[in-house]
Amino acid sequence: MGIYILKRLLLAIPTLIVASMVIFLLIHLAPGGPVRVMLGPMQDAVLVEKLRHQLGLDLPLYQQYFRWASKALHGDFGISVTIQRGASVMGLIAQRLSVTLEVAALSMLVALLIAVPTGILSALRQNRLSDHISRIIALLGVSIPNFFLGILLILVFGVHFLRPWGAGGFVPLSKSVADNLIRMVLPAIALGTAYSAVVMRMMRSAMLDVMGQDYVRTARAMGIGKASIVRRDIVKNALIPVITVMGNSIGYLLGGSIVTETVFRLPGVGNLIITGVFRRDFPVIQGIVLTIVVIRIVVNLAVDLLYSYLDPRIRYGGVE
Amino acid sequence: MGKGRWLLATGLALLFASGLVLAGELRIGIATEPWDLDPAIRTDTGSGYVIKNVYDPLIELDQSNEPTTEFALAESWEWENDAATLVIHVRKGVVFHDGSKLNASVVKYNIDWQLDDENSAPNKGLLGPIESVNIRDEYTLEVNFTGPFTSALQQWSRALDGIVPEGGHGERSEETGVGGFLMSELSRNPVGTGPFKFVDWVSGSHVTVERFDDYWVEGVPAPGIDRVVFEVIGDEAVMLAALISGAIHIVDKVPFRDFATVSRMPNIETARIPGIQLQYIAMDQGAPPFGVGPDENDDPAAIERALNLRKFLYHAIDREEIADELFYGMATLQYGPWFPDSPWFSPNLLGRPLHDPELAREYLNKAGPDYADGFDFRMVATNAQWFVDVATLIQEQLRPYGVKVEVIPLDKAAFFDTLYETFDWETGMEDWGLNNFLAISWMFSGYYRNNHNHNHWHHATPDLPEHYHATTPGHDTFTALYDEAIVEPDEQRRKELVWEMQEMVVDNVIRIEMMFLDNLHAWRSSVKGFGDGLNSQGEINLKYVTEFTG
Repeated sequence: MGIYILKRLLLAIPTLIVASMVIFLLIHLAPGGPVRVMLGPMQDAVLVEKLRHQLGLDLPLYQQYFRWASKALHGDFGISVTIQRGASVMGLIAQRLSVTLEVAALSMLVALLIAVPTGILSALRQNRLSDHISRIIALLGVSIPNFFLGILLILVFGVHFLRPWGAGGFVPLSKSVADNLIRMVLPAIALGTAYSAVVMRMMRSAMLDVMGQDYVRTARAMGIGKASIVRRDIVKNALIPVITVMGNSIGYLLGGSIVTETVFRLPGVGNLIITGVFRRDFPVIQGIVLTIVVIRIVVNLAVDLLYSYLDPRIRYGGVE
Repeated sequence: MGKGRWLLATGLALLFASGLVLAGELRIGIATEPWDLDPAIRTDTGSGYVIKNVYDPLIELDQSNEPTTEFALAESWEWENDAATLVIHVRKGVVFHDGSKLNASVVKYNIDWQLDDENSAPNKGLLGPIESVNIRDEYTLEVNFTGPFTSALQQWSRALDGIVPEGGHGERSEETGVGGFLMSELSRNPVGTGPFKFVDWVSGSHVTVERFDDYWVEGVPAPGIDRVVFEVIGDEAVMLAALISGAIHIVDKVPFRDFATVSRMPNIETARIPGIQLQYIAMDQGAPPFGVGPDENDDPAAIERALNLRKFLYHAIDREEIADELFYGMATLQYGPWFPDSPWFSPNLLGRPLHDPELAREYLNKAGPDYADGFDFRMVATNAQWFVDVATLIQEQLRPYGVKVEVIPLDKAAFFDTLYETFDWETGMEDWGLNNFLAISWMFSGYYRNNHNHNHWHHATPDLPEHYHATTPGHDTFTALYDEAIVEPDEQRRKELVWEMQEMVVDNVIRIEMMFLDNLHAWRSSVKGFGDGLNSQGEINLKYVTEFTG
């Protein structure tokens, strides 16, 4: 297992190098740069050149890359030039990532709380009324864009029903746990419901698949109780494909958070990257994308390792 | 439910309820996040909202944009040496949020820092032709100009709109990134003399300031305000929902389409103030069709053709339709390059036709057979929705002439890149906050000074980039008029010279100035007195608030 993890981590190095190069190149290919944005309508040619020089943007691209990469290797992503001038990019990402991860975690919790019981119920009562209702709800969940659901939630719960939710916004956990959670409820529902629909459908079909397996029939023939079979044999085995979907959905949650964060005014990574792109804050964009790549690598590895816990037949490192 | 569960539920309810209401917190919704809270280097609107309340200006402008000492750090001033020397008496007893005191030396530091070329201060030009800055005594400053500079007070109200403590901008350092325009010590930790002192700035979320009890004006900040939170709310619908729900108390602006509805709502007050946001079309005068290429520079026929096409555009665009359809009539149409209700605006321009299809057709024909049946051009616009809407409406207005307009929405970085790097444009849909309150100084910075901007009247100078070759004859006459006007002692004569210059600008169609948009404000009735501080610049000025009742 240890060797397997080491191999995977070593494989991550070239992935990170290639990803960082692609990010760097793409950003610099986009027209305009931070200096143009900074100056707004006062585009003085001399000042433009002077500021570009100060920011090192007049160097050849490969030199800029190596300069940035060597600092990044030491954990220094540089400083923001147009979002919050002078702020450390690492600090900004840490501050914003905690918000995004909180939204993602709460959304996943909402999704699991909805999806797992309804998926199980739907499979156990296949083609009955409760199954049909669950499937219709799942279809709606997938079909409604989360930004639209977000605005609806704000209108219903923010303006007409429970007014304190109207502003959206963010309060750090360190300042007030209650305020923080209150403001996270609607974003988590907006993002989590769409995700729950995907998980619910996956749970249902995986359950149906497992329920048809020989070992389930054998367990029933042996007189083991239905509840016990469902809990110990069916659900546990059905969770394997569900976990794969959940692992892959980290990207979806981070991507979906861009829209959700905008609607609910959450200062997360999605919001930061959008502002970074519009303001051409190169250090910030490079830092975030690289961080997201690292997160995905780690999550994929964690999901793979989780398989072996759920299914003892799966072993890594060449030994079965 | 067991006893323990009831206790837990009650505890949670109390925990949540405690987070809902924060007494004494005034919340303001702003559409864009601040960039930089150092007043000497900020260039954006979002930062301006915070800066207005954390700092005080050296000179303030009143509602009619005349210099005033109200909420200003200059107690009085006088001119000497035929308006070539300005003597400023600095207010006594004013302290900064860090405890340091205001005096003449502090003000001198603020001026000197901007004058230092190394700092690339964006408003340096507004300070004027300063020869020397001397301290006469602890609270008296003497500023000598190279000649009479009577527009100093108006221009300084912008250039020195936030006085910082001595040494406040910090020392240049590669390690910290401090270095003039790029950032200063105050960029994220502002220190001023204003009624509110900085607390925190959570990127992407909000800026918090709290009341400064040692503020030098009695009764300010208003009773009831302990803290002010500037909340960044990028979405207009969310912003309005928050105002209506009472989650925020002031919005920085109201969308034109929603103004009438919001005005009818209970507990919400609104105001519509004629603004200074000038909406115009810039034309590339360095290339056909609206300008001439470098090889055509001495060709009178080519120059005439370009001028006719600019005049065509000037008369073909229906500004009134744009104002009515897109801004619900809440705009002031422009007949020239100055505020039409100002005595400094040429009366000869007021009666001139704006939208005139016959004249437009005539100029199109005059441009020659290649253009008479129509032509194609591109209009670049920043991707804010209303820019694109205006450009699209213009596209429709020009269709009957056979003119095809390709509207190209771009983000700001790509927009400026197009105007200054690739030159792939013929026209640009733009706006500009005309916070220059003297007509003569706008004639200088907008049309006289050759600052290599894409929307200027270019004339030959040794350093003029190739693309910006001199394109319009008559600029020499214009500059001669300005040189005469700036030293003219008789105000009426000076006015007439400024009028003549404006007429030249319109005759040559340097830009197509279309309209000034109104500033639309809304706030909850609990913020009493807020409306008294509103002005044409659209600022959020909490110094005028008399009471806040939550």
